[in-house]
Amino acid sequence: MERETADQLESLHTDAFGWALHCCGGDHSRAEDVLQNAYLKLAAGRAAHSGLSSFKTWWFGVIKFTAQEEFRRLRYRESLLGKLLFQFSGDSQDTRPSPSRQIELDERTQELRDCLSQLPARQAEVLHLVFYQDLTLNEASEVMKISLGSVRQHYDRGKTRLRTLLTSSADYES
Amino acid sequence: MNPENDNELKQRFTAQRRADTEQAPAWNPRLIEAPIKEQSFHFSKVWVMAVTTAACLMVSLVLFHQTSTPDLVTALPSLFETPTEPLFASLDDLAAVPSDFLLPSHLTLNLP
Repeated sequence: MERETADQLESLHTDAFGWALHCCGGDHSRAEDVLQNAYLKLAAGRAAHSGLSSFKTWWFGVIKFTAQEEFRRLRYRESLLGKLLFQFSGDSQDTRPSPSRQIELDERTQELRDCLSQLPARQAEVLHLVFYQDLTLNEASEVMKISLGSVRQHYDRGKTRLRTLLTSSADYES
Repeated sequence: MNPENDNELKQRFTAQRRADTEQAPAWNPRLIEAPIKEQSFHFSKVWVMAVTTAACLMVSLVLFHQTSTPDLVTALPSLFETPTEPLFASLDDLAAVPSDFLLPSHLTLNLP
């Protein structure tokens, strides 16, 4: 792999983990798996940056796609046939976060994650990309593979809904 | 767009980002140089299982087919066996017996 690509991946590593974490609904072990599988795709040459978009938006697209693959695989494993097959091959693994890790999560962070999980997926995605990853709406549209108009709509609706959820959550706690 | 509210949201996300960064796995250059041996092994395991299942299925199908196909010589009814005696030979005996042997003797016709 080229030195330049390796440097870019290293600088984006923590952000990429944050994005993988969002794509996996806050599941740390799954997010680590997804990120590692995305790195493996690069190492095996199954994903390559064409230069049409920025490296960050392209890399985030790869992670999102890998997370969707992982989600499908997880659903298959949860199916009856999948359970039988994986029990037979002895390849079952627990994807739930460890209790100690859950305790480690800051309450405030957890509150935001809970509120985001109540939003439609697209709205949560665009808010994460804009506020967490500091992407522009245009870049978010490239990652999400939807039009800029749709992204703007999801962004506005998502913000309104998230504020309402956070306010009601704060009222409930007080 | 309300910048004040956006700032509040931004602060929330920044706090989440900070927390995630603390828990993120450390960067390891080997991540992008790691061979995909484990994955290919898993992939080959799946293939071996699929091929074994297919082979078992084929063998069982062949065996089932062999046992269920009847032998024509033994399975055909004796209807198709070639008769060894002339056709309607048994009717000759019946023809020899007179058909009016139960009639009284004075009613019996004697042909010259």
